[in-house]
Amino acid sequence: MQETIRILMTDDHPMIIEGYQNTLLATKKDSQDLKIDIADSCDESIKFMNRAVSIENPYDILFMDISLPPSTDGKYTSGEDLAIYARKIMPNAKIVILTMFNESYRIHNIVKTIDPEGFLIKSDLTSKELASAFQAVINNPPFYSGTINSMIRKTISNDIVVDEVNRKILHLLSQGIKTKNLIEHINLSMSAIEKRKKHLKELFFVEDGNDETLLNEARNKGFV
Amino acid sequence: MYQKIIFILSFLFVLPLKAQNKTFNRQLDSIYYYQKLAKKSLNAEEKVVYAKYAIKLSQATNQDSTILNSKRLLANIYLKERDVNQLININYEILNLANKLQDSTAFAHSTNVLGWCYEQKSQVDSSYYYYYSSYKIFKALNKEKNEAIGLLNMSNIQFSQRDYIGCEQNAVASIKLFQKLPETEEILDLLWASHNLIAIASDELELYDKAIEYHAKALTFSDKIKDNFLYTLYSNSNIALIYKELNQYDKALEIYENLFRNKEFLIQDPNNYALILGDFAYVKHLSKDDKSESIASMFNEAYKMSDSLQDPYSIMSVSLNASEFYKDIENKDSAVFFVNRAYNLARETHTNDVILKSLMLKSKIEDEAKAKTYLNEYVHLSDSLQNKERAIRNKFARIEFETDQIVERSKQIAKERMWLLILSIGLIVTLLLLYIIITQRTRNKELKFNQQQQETNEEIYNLMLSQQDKIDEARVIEKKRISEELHDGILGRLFGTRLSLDSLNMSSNEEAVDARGKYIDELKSIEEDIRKVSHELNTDFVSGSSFTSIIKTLVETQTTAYQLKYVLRNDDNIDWDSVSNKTKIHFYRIIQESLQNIYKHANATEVNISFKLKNSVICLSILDNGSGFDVNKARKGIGLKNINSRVNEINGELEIESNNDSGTELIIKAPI
Repeated sequence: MQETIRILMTDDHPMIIEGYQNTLLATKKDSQDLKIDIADSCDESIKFMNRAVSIENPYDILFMDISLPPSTDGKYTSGEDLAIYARKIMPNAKIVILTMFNESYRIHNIVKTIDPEGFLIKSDLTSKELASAFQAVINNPPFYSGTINSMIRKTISNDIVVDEVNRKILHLLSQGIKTKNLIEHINLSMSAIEKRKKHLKELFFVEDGNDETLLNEARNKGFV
Repeated sequence: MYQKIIFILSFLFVLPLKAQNKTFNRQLDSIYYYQKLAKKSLNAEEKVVYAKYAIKLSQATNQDSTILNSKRLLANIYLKERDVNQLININYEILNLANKLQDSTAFAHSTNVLGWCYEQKSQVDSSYYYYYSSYKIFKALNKEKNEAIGLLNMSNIQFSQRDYIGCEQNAVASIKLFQKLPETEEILDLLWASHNLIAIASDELELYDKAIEYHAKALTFSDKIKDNFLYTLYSNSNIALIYKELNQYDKALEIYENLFRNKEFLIQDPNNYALILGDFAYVKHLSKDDKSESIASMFNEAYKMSDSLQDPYSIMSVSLNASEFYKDIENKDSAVFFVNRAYNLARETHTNDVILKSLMLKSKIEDEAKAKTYLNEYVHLSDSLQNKERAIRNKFARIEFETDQIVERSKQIAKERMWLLILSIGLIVTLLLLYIIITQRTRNKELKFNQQQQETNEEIYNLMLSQQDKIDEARVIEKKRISEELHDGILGRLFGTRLSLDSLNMSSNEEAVDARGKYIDELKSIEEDIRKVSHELNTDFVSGSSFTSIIKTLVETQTTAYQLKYVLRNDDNIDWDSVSNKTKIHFYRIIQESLQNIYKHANATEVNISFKLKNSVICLSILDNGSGFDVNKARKGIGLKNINSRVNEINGELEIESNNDSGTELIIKAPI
């Protein structure tokens, strides 16, 4: 029995989509019939999704890149936003996130907000892994790549509980943003941020009080 | 006030002088020694010699007060000797010195003596002037005794000049003062003298009752004097004369008889004896109760006695009385003899009242023809005398007025001096205050200026710092951009290519080889991209731009505000990061100041600013095309001064080239 699988691939690099297509077409089962739509921007991706919903022919699998140029109306700034939208309008569609990011915070966040059926890090992705991930997502989701699994395990196995805001602070600091500029990114007062930072330093046993040491500790423990 | 200040000042000067040396003290000792000798010596000539020697020694010390002392000593000696001419000379010297030393007491004493001297010389007006001056000074000094004596002296002179009213006034004033003083013999004597003076003045004014009253008062004072014989004699004989005038011959006779009861005493003073005897005889004659023989013998005795004594007053008095007597008993020859004696003597001694009396008597004695000439002479003389008296009375008034004026003027001058002193002190104080205020103000200004300078420097420094911040930020942004480019662009493409090649790896057919070739080309283009990014990373696009960009902003805003065209050239060889902030700040300020100067003074349309590096010296040139100025003559304005001081701060050199054709060029050379 021929099975038609509708796929939407969103990535701004045509080269990558070509790579996905090549791999999937080469490794698909003979019974599987792939119908692939390609979107290279948020706008286009939304357009494809909306059309699919309107003709009541939703996608089965969405391949979503995280870093995308924002949509023209500014509503969607990344694949994350698109994925949230897709979950809303096509709750049965399976979402596979493919990203270059390998920072703990982002990954953690994506797992939390989207809970994707597939989560792959591009840098350690091979065509074999992609093929098996594809099959696993269809038949037995979820499929997380090894790096992500180990990262999640690290934070879970730790006694340290870091809430969302603190995680964000750590992430921003690791991006090289200065403490005094944190207020621009976090909706908190300066003193509150300072308090949190102090608390974080106690959590990670940072004795010399340096931000650098804090980040190193957090990185070791998989929070960054 | 003024004198006190002078005194304090001189005291200050005198103190160190006194402590000066011993030789001075030795000089003083010898002066005192000679002064003592002069006082002790019995011989008058010796006294004068010693006193003069003391003066000479004193003059050697140059101490005015010492000279004054010695001179006063000599003046005292002369006074005792009654040497009028020498006294006048020495007293004038004393007056000068006393004036110089502001010693009013010495001044008053010596004016008093001068008054006496001129009285002796019958220079009545001078005498009166000096008595009056000394009286005024003593009055000012509150020395009542001397003041009263001065008044008495003045009234004496007034009496002699027949100014009886003036005389009485002064005498009354002196009595008032004397009565305040303790009754010593001297004061009693003076009181008697002043009462006596009033009495005889009243007599002359024919106020006989008043005259008798004052004589009686005078007697009450003389009674308290131990050796009062002469006082009583004078007063009594005067009273007797008044009774004679009043035709109360009994009373007059009674007094004379009382007097002559002590004939032995009387005869000790033969002058008075002769005088009184003459009067006594005449009164006796007038009372007509005695015989003419005994009266004639009394006149004889009196005249003989006075003639033998050659005392003109008693001779004249006796002669007049005798002549009257002989006229009455119609002994014309004797009458004429006596009246002529009196007349001639009066002429010799200038005793005017006797001349008048004798003329009147003559006219009565002689026959009508002669009598007329005598009467004429009498009238003539009495008129001229009256005029003279009037003139002298006027003179006294004038002297008093003028002396008062002089005193007033000297007071005025003293006052003016005091004001001048106060004013000048005030002026000096105000000037001092002004000076202090001005210096304080300039100091404040300087401080403020320095503070301002500091502030502007700080401003520039902050500007540079913020510029640095901006650059840092730009660097971060650039880094991020490159990282994103690597991450999103190149990594993505690389990943896509890898994935495709990976999937193509499994098949080895012709198609797959072609596709692989395509991906290998893709890798090549990725390589190219990486090289590009790497190159971008290699060029430090912001290095050195911080200071030049600040300067550029400055020049840009300044020139647009001043509507100037500008050319700004920077030498890329200058590593501005290694130039000290101080130098950079000063360069900035110099450019700012010069642009202001150009705008204010040069009327330029273009500015050319350039930095150049020569042998590790930065040359800043600011050239304009405006109207230049004479560099040598140019008033060093604040702008140019500021530039100069800034150039000095950075150990640089400043050159200014300016001429009317090509504008001005400022060249600043400063080591890095």
